[in-house]
Amino acid sequence: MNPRFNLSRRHLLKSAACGFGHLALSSILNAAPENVLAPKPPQHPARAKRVIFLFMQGGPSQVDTFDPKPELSKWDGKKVDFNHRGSTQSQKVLKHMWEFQHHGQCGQPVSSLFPNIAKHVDDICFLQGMHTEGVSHGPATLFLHTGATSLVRPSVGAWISYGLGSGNENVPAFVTINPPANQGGPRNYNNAFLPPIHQGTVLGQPGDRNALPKLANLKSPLSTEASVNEYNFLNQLNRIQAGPRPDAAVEGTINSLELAWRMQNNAAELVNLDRESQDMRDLYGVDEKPTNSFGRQCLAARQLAESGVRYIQINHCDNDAAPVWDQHSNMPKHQELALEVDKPIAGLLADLKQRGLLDDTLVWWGAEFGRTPFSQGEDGRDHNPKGFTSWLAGGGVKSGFSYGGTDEFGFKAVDGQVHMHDLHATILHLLGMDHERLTFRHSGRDFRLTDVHGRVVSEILA
Amino acid sequence: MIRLGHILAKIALVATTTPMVMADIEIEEGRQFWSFQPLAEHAIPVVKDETWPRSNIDRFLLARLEASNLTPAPDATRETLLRRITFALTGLPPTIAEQDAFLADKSARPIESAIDTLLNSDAFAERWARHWLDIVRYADTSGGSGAHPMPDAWRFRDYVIDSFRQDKPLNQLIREHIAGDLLPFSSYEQQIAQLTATGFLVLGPHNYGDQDKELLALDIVDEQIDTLGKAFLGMTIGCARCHDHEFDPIPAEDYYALAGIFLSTKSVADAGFSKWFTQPYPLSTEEESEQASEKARVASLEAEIANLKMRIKMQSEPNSVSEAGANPNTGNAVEKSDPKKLQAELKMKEDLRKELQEKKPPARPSIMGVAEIEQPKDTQVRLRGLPREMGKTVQRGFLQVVTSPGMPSTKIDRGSGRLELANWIASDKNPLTARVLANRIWQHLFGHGIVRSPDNFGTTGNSPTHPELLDHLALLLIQNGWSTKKLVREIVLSRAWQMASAGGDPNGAKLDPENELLWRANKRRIDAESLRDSILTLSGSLNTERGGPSLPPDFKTEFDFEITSLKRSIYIPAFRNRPEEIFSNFDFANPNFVVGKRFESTLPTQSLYLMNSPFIHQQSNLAEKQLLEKSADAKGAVLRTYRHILGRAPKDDEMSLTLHFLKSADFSSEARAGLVRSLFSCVDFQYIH
Repeated sequence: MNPRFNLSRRHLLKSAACGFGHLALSSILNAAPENVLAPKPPQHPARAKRVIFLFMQGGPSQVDTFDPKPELSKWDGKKVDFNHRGSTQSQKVLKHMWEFQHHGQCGQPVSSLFPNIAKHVDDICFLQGMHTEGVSHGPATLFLHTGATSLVRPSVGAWISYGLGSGNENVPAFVTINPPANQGGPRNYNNAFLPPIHQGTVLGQPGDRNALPKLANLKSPLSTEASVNEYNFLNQLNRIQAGPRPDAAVEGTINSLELAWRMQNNAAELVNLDRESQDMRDLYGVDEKPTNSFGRQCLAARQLAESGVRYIQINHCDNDAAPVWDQHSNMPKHQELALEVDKPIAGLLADLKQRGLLDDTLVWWGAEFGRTPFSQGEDGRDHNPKGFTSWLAGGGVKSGFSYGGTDEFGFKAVDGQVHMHDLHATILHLLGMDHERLTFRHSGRDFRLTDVHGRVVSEILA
Repeated sequence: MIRLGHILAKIALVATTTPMVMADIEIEEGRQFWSFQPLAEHAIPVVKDETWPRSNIDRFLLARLEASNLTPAPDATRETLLRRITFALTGLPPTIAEQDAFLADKSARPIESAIDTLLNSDAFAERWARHWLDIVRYADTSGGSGAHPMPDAWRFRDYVIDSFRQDKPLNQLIREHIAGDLLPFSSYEQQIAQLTATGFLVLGPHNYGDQDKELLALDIVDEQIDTLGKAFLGMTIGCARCHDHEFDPIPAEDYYALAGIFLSTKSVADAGFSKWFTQPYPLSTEEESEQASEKARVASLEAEIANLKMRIKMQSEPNSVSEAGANPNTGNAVEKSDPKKLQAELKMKEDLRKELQEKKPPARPSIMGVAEIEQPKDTQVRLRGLPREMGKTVQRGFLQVVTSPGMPSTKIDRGSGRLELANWIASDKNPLTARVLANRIWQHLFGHGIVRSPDNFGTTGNSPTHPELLDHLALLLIQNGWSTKKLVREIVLSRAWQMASAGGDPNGAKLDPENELLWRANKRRIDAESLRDSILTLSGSLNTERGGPSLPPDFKTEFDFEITSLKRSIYIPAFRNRPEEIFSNFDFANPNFVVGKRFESTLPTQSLYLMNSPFIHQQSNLAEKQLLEKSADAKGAVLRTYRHILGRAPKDDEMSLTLHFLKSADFSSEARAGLVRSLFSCVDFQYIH
């Protein structure tokens, strides 16, 4: 870092203010709060310092990935009444489309869709009794991200940013790479009523899983001196205009300018894949098809983790009305999609582990829901929020562990149920925060990520 | 019944039961929901402070404030007001001349005259057409799985702008969107406009490459129903494709009643890679008569040629009397035609005929839109939304829950039923349409709708904060012939709209932090188009040409396409996958969806764009040259620059800060451009107070 730019705002204001004495400098200084993203102490000892969330938009099928059910083959093609969405119609069971094998010392079954992730099962904690709210993508995606299906609520990452601040004052606490542009779009990384600085910063391009994970306009075309002077001028101008009691929106604009300035002057700390060795790029599948795009996202996530970002979300998503993993027809497409992510995710796990980062980084793989064990059309599966698999790794969870399960068909979570609210509560817990005490007063009452629900799943804590 | 383990309660090997059907009783109960109730004339509330209200709108708002022990904020300053009005109505900042005129206007109603000037400007039409384009998910590329250019989409965009310029009744606009091809017309221009209007139905993002053409057809219909439901009725009808709507009283049958209408409509041209439906421009009367006269011309040429040939033939036969010898009637010798001359004449005429026959009619522009199919018919419910799982056939029709005394008949006698649907939606008696539209206009002016979920007036949407006021506005809209301009005028002239956005009741922030009761004006973040258009205007580089194609003739793909046009943002191609950088940074409406309300995000990436992007640097350098370069009087130049960009004079501390900034850089051009850039980025530019 260039020490010249690591100046506090107070310092900058003081140095720049010399020379126009009649300006009410003290009022400007008093109005300027400290960096709102400064690290805050956790509420209890934390097991993880950061989270990397790998979002598989659309809902991969649990019964074709991590949750094999022999009954499916037995009943394949036969009609069974699942009471799906309240319908009393029977549904045609559809068997697994991929072979399963047991892996690692823990013996976790993984289908042939994920041969590389399968090598890391002993580092993973599988949540096989997940269930959630929302039967269509919009509500379920918002619920996954904000704990609410329709009301505007802050995203998980925004809560974490608000609760912990950034691990480095020069980077945002919450970054999302190529986030979904639909199914709630920006609401999935928004701050809602939390101060705007906690909104997720987007790298790449919403709705485009192939966009490069880079931040545009990071370099000033001006000389250093000119850009410092201009920044100081603008910042002081903003303070004058904001007045002594700026509202949240204006304060947010000012904070975001300040953060942008710090990011600009510490660009090297953010994503730069060029500085990685070829071996490292190979590990993530960068530079090769079909893993290049997601490999870049995963590698960028590791760099962001190193630079102090608290919540990094990388997204395997697109801009279609039917999201990437949403195979209502054509389940075989799962194969193509798995090929894009399998190696990069395995590379990320291996890399975090070899750097010792997996100890305090919680990796979360999942989607807004799973899929039905019965068919839709010839070879598709419908949405299923009643039972599916997500997994966690590192950051204080048991490794080589599988928790919970679905019924004989893989339709409904029946034991070790983990509701999305419970998962949120557990993630906050691992980060050192109590989901019942991480609150924000708004509209006359205290709001939480988990509303009035949520249970820390102590069974999976290491 | 077989029981498996302890888990599944019941398993049936054969389907024996029928699907759930929403009972009539549920629909009847559903009608009790506020948005399905007929519009009602509510008594104008009595207020304690009669000195404050300027209109009935004010009385509705003040009554609620008084009941909550809140007082409205003081009036905004005239400078603030002019900037607010100009942005709200045109999306552009007021010029220094406009500021001078407004501040100097000592007439009784300076605001009214400023408003009327703005309402009649082209910029108003562009601004409000853009709001409309957000809800009809306008784009210049197809989206879906691809990004195919839609080279004729701009005609629809220009049609929308023209409609707002003419202040076309909004219900007529909707009628034309849905059934423009079926409406009568009294001029060629009207005919073209109405055909173009139906582009609304085919502008959606679709996966045209889908090889399952049955599914593609149903997907297109689904998108049409979903879009018109959200845009005009505030209803999420699309939810009823696979099953009865889970939250609103819309059974799947209603969905397929509508689907029958759109399946009876030609929207897609099927091919290996299908396309949206297009048709060539119809012939105008002049073109028709021109074609007729050309036909006549060819016919007369044919006759002349035949005649010539005859003469030539006769000449070559020496015994022929009439040609070679004397005229039998007069006895005079007729001069014998020169055979060469005749041949030349024949050739000339033949060439001319050939030319006329081979002349291709000039390339006819094509219109994206729809047409009726030959045999319109009802369709079946698709069980669980599956294209080939047929349920019962339902008669084409509309939403059962939306009925109100005086609504047009829902009977569809012939044709697809689009015209009937259009009239049903556009009816004065439809309880949803006028409410939804009035709410949209209110939202664009105040920042929030009375219903804060503008595209969802169903049970999962927000309830109106002022239900009686919403009805009042909806009725006002109808009484004024569905005129946008009249309702906008009424609202911006209210005292409520002219309140200050800062200060106000000290209890306001505590009692009503969301400002639902409107105890002060909402500060508005400048939107993407206003930001770009303002900057271009202020730097003097805005290309003021209006209308015309968005895409260049050699356009291939939106990826890597560099936008160089300096026209207003509404004329810039709207891409479905790769929006222009400034648009995606500043929350432009995603053209894949109906967007009644845009996001307002605050991100460091926006600040980085304003600090460092080539566009901002280019424009601030240009603006600097105009505003500051040649000025000997630094103070005067700074004053002018502030007024030009922020619409107001600098405060004392801003002036001294600015002079200090310029002076410490020796008034370099870099610093002067830096001043402009900073003014583009500062709080008072980024927010409309």
